[in-house]
This record gives sequence, structure tokens and C-alpha cells, in this order.
Amino acid sequence: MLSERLFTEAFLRRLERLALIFRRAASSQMQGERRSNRRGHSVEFSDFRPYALGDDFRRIDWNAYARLERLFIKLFIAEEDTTLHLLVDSTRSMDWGEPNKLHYSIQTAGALGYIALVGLDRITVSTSQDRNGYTNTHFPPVRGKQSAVKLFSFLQSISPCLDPIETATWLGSYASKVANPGIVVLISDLMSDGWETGLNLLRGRGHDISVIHLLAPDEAEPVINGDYRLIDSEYRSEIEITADFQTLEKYKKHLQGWQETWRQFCRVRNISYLPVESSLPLEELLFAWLPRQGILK
Amino acid sequence: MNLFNLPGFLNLPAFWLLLLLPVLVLLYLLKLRREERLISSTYLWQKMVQDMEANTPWQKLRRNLLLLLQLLFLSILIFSIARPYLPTSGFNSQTAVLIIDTSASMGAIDVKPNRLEAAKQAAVQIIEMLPADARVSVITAGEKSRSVISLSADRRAVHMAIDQITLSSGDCNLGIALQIAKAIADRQPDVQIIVLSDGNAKLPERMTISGIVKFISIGKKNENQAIQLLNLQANPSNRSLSAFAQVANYSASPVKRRLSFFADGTLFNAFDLEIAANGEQAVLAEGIISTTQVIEARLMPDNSAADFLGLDDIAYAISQHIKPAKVVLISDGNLFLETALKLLPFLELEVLKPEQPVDAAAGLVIYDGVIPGSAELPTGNLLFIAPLSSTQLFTVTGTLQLPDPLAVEPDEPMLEHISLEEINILDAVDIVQPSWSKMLIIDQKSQAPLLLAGESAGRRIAILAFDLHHSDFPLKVGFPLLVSNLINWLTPGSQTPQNVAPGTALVFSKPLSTSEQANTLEITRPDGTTAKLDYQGGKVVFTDTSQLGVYTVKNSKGETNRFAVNLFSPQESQIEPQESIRIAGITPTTMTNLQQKGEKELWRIAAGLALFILVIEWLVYQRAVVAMLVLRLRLFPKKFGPNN
Repeated sequence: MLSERLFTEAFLRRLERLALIFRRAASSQMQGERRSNRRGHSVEFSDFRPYALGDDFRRIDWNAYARLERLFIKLFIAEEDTTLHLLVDSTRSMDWGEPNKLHYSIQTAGALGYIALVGLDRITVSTSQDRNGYTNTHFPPVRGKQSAVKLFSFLQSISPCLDPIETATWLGSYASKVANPGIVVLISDLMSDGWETGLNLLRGRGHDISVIHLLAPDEAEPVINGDYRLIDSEYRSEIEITADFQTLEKYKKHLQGWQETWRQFCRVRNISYLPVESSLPLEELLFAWLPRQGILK
Repeated sequence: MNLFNLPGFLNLPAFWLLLLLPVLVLLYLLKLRREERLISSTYLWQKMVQDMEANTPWQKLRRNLLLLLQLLFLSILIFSIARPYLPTSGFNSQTAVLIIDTSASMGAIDVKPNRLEAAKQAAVQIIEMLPADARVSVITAGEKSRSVISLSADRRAVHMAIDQITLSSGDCNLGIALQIAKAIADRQPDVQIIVLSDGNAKLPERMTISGIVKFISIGKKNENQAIQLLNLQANPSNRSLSAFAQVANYSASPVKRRLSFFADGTLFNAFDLEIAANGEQAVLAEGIISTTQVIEARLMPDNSAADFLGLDDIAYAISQHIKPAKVVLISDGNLFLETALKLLPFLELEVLKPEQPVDAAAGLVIYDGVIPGSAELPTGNLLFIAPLSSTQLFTVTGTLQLPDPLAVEPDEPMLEHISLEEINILDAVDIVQPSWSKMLIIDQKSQAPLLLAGESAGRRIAILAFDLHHSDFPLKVGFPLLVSNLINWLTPGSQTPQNVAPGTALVFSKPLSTSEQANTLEITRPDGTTAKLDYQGGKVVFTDTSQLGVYTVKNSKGETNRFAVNLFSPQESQIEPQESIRIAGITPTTMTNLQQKGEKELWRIAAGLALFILVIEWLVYQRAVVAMLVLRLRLFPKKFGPNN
């Protein structure tokens, strides 16, 4: 089974204990297990209201009629499903590092997706697309634990984009296609411009957004010394640097400042921001860091 | 003389090595193919570099730090190879001993106004270069050396002392001056001995001095002609005088000069001389009237020939034998002795029989085989030949058979050129050596004296112990020489030397039979000044013979005599300045001008600096290691993980 490649059975069983946290009430057309702010069909009583013409009389509370001789409709809290949107940055810069950032984000996406499927939520995956097509970079919404196999096989088929992408376009078009607000988890290294615009667009649709900012260890702390011409794996741009102690110090300071900028950006927009190094064990991320961040419980 | 202290380089051609600098840059450019490295994204780097370049405009320079350090290292290395030096004025010691040559050759005017003045100026300049608290000694080196000021920190006094140094006319004996300097140097730390001289001086062969010895050569040219010799010879046959002069040319080119002779101030002869380069020419002027007292030879000034030293162009000679000495020979007849005495010039000989009375005015009385009859000896000097019996002056104890004569001292002047070998003597009187006398010839077997000489009670006495008739000595060549020597010594009236070198000490004996009251000797110097000297123990020592020219001596009896002081010194007439002085045991540093002297070489400092730069360069090159070491000591704030 393909899923075995991504996770072991034991790991999946452990994942089943986790659940996604939807920080606002769900709203979708589909019934699910997620408490909605709408009235609907469930076992949990919500309210009464007088019967009106056209109501389903099966939902009339006959006991109330017997006492009061008036018709009341019993209202229940609707339990709906919600959609987990996994946005995986698959640009070339993600296909980097030891451990590989793209692989790490696929694992993370797989684990989160599995948790969502177990929780009877819908899940959909989108990777950063290039101009060539949409189909193979989009995993349409699915529900049910049985879809996990399909999810895992899709995730494993993700390959790095050949061409650079327009981040803002990708996120913008994705936001425009999604009707109902859901949970958005963006896994990316954020190493290009346009992420802020895209996140603003997504935020405008009322999504509950989490950003997992993934960096490889050698990005966080470059181990280089001497004169180099650094070549960008994605854009092929070059930069000449002399990596000495001071330069590296400056790089680290700059990195910290950059992360702080993102943290500020996210706090203002009520976006959950979590910087992660790909050297962090996946278990620790899933069972410790994400629950602490309020993404899982 | 320019005394500005500009730094210089001893090895200027080393700067051609600067051509290596472009080569280094070229190598660096060739080498600077930056290592290409693929990274995930240059996003962060670009942001950072923009940031950094905005903040530090010289960031680009920093990238070439290694190259700059290497260029700096190479430059400093080349600088040190070029052997830079700082002319520390060279005169930076706490104690300076200046030796200023005041000899005749320093009067040369090839440097204006003359060499001595130039040396004095140089000395003043040197003193100005010394540290303010340095102590200065100044020693003059002429025919006499004198410390004119010793270890003085008072610059005014030193300047005055230097100002008062005058030229002497004699030789330069640097050895004595150096001995004085050594005496100062041995007691002081950090001493520089600076010799200001033209180098034409008498040098000690070996010497050790604690301290640095520096030699500053004064003078530029060597053109000079000099009268090297002037001799006046009496010609007994026609009672005239002949003057013999020798003129030397010390130039490197032949010259024409005129040599004039003046007899008592009147020109009577002149010779035109052509003297080859470094050559000599002799001149004989004959027919000078015998009454002439002073002969002056003068090289006339000539525009065509350069002669930078005037002191040696004039020479004087004194006609010495104006008054013949009166000698009385008391003898029964001695042909050998009479003949030998008659050969001596300017001698008034009187032969007396033993019974005849002796003239009291006689300067010398010779008793040949007789002894004075009366107890009263004549007042003059005495020569006894084979005395028969004792007198009040000596004691005869017997006779010696076949004595074998031997000179007591081989270099005794009175026995010069006289061979005592193969002289046969039949017998001699055995005399006990009197305390006043000195043995000149002794019998080899008995060590008894055969010839005695000495001074007793102000007169000179000589005793020859054997009868000339009992010996074959009168037939030998040495006999007339011995007689001449003995008579010369015994008639001291004619002993004033003909040629006196400047600075020579002269001894004048008090004339015999003068009253106690008349105890003064008057000496008139060439410049007209007069020195009055009192006899001490029957003698006057006159040392102030530094002036060249004719001195007039008037003794207590009113007799006048003259002597001439001439600079007959090839050492001084050879005025070519020497580049260095050589003394075993010390190595004087020669300084041809004052500023070049005290070069303090800086290459050690430069090389040390280059090494330092090299270390820095290596550290920069290995900065990753350095950075890691620094990193280990630091804690970095946590950047990853949930913010809580």
C-alpha cells in the first residue's frame, strides 16, 4: 500500500487520536461532524420555534403540542463538515535541504490530511502550480477515511515545479475558487515575493489560516566559508558573496528579522505562524508543536 | 652641509620588486574564480546584501581584504628588503667626545675658509644634533693633544671652547688624542668618539675603545707643494754657505713653481722648478756669504698651480757656527788626535804643553795622558784620555791588560756608525766608575769602563781609559767619528738643532760661569713675542715651538742664538683627505657627510611588521575557524518553534 511508504500503521493509529481545530464555526453544504452555527440535523438540541407553513412536520415536537396545543418545531445544532485546504509549496527551492523540505512538507500534509479524513472533514490539496496545468497539481476534495490512500498517492506524486511560479496568482486563484471558508494550512519556505498578497486574498475569504514556515537546516545556518557565487535553484539568479564570520552573522540576524516580520504579519491577520526546521522530527511537530500552536488537538 | 634628516634606502634597486605587485593582483584575478554553489534560494542573501551594501559602502573593499593584506605584506617586505634607514643624525649618544685635528694640514684652504674652520663648524653642527642633555668633550689633536673641554653639558661653554681652537703647525698625533678620549670613554656609558680630521695623522697600530668611533673626513683636494728640506752647509774652504732645499709636489699633476732664497731677508737667488706629479726636486744654492745668519726659502705664489697649504711653502735655516768653540788640548804630542780635531769645522784648537797655563775661557780642555797639575780644574768641559792617576772627579786603581772593548748600549748615539770590533788595545787604566758618569764602552772581560761620559757640577766630562798610542784604534775608520761625536757633545754651544719640528721641546743649558743673578733666558718667537724663562737646575725647557719661523734665544750671558722651526713633515704636506682611518682593534665608521652618518636601519621593524601582516592575513584566511571558536563561546537565541 502506498500509504505505508508515507507513514507506518502504528503512526497512522497514533494520528487518529488527533483532531483538527476549527477556530470558527464550520459552514458548508455537507453534513459532517463539525458543529455549525447553523441549525441542522443532529442529536444536540438547540432551540424551539413555532411551526411555519412548509416545515417538515416530522420535526414537530409532539410532546410540546400535547402540553401547549401549539405546534413547535424542534431545532438542533447543525453538524457540518469543514474542508481542510492543504497548500503545499512545491517550488524548486522547497526541493532542498537535508532532510528535504518538500518531502517533509508532503509528510506533514499527509499527516494533517489523514487526521482530517478521520475527523470526517473534507480535504483538498493544492500544490504551487506552473503554467502548464492545473490537474495534476490539485487534489479535489474528498471525504472519508477510505480516501486516505488516494490522498497519499497524490502527495507522493508531487514533483517540484519546473518553472518559477507566481505565488500571488496561485493563492489568489485558489481563493476565488473556494466557496466556503475552511481551514487552510500553507506549508512553504516563503522564499519569494507575493506570499503576503496571496495570504491576504485567502484571508479575505474568511479561512482559518495556518502557515508552517519550513526551512532547511543549512538555510537557517549556512555552512559555507570563502568566496562563492551562489546560484538560485529556482530563478537561476546569482549572487557573489564572501562568506566570513561577519557575513554569516549578518545572515542569521537577517533571517531572524525576516521571521519576526512574518510573525508580525500573521499576528495582525489572526493567522497562525509556525517556523519549522526540516530537521525537526515529524512526531514532535505533530504531537507537540502543532497542538501547542492550536492547529491540532 | 645639509643636515636635514631624510630617510633613505641602502638598497634602492630592491624597489624593482614592486613590479611583483601587479603580478600578485593578476594572480589574484586569475584565482578569483568564485566557487559556484547551488543553493535553494538566493532570496535571503539578496535581501541581506542589499541591506549590507546600503549600510557599508566599503563592503566591496572588504571582499578583497585578503588581496589588500597580501599587497600590504608584499609592499612591506619589499620595503624592508630595500633596507630603509633613518638618519638618526647618528649623534644620539649621551656622551660625545669630539677630536678635532689641529695639525698643519688642517690649515689647507681647499674648503673655505680652511679645514680647521670646516671641522669646527661640523663639530658645532654635531653638537646641535646631540640630545640636549648629552655631555660633550672636545680634544684637539695637534703635535700636542689637549682636552679643551671635558664632559660639559653647557653648550655655550662648548661652543666657546670650540671657537677658541686654533691651528697648530705641527704633526697630528691621533694616538694621544684617542688615548685621552679612551680615558673618558672608559668611564662613561654610551659614548661616541667623533674624529674630525683629514686623516693625515699618526695613528696607533692597535687600540681598544669602549664606544663608537666615527671619522669625519675634512677636506676635498690634494694639490700642495712643500719645501721638504732646507739645509745650510758651511763650506770651510772659502767660508761660504750652501743651502740645500728639497721641494715635493703632492699633486697628481706636474707643476711649475719658483723657489726663492732670501739671505737675511734679501732675495739672492731663485729657481724655476718643474716637479712631476708626486715627485720631488732638489735645489742647491751656493755661494751664500758666511756671515749670513738666516736663510729663508720660499715657494712663490703662482696662479698656475694650486697649492692649498701655505705653511709648508716657507722654510728657514740658521747659520749655526758663527762662533767657533774654543778647545784646548794639553798633550805631549798626539798626532792622531790633533789631526782628528783639525778636521772638525768651526773649532778653535789650541795645543798646550802640560806645564803651560790653561785659558779659563776655553770651552773644552782635553788632557791627553796628563792630569791637571793643580787641584783647581778649569771651568769648561773636560775630556781625559788615559789619566795616569786619580783626580777629584774619578779614581784610578790600576791597569787593564789587553782589554776587549764592547759597547754597553748598541744604539748609543755617541757610538753611532763606530765599529768596536777588531780594535786592539795594549793596556788601559782601570777606573772606578764615578756616580755622575755613564759607561759607554767597557772591557768585556773585567767589565771595567773604557769610555765614560757624564755631567758633574754643570759641566760635561768624558774619560777615555786607554792611550791612543797603545791601540790601533786611531787607524780605524771609527776614530774620527768618535772624536767628532765626543767633541760635539762636549762643546754644547753648537748643539742647537738646525731643524726643529713644531712642538719639539728644547733644552737650553745654563752657560757656565755666569752669575747667580743672571738666571733668565729670553726667547723671541717669530711673531715678536718674548718668553722669559728662569733656569731650573741649570736648564730651561722650552716647549712653545708651535710657531713656524725663526726663534731668537738670548741666554743669561747675553749671547744670542737662533733656531728655526720648520714644517718638514710629509705627513702634513700630504693634504689629500683620507676616506677612513685604520686602527686595529677599533673600526671607525667613516662619514663623508654629516647626515649620512647615523643611519638607523629599519628593516627589522619592517620585516616584523610584514610578519604581523602575514599572521593577520592567515587569520583572515582561516576566519571560519576563528568564527567557530567565537561561536562556541556564544549562545544564540532560539529562532524556531512555536511562539508562546
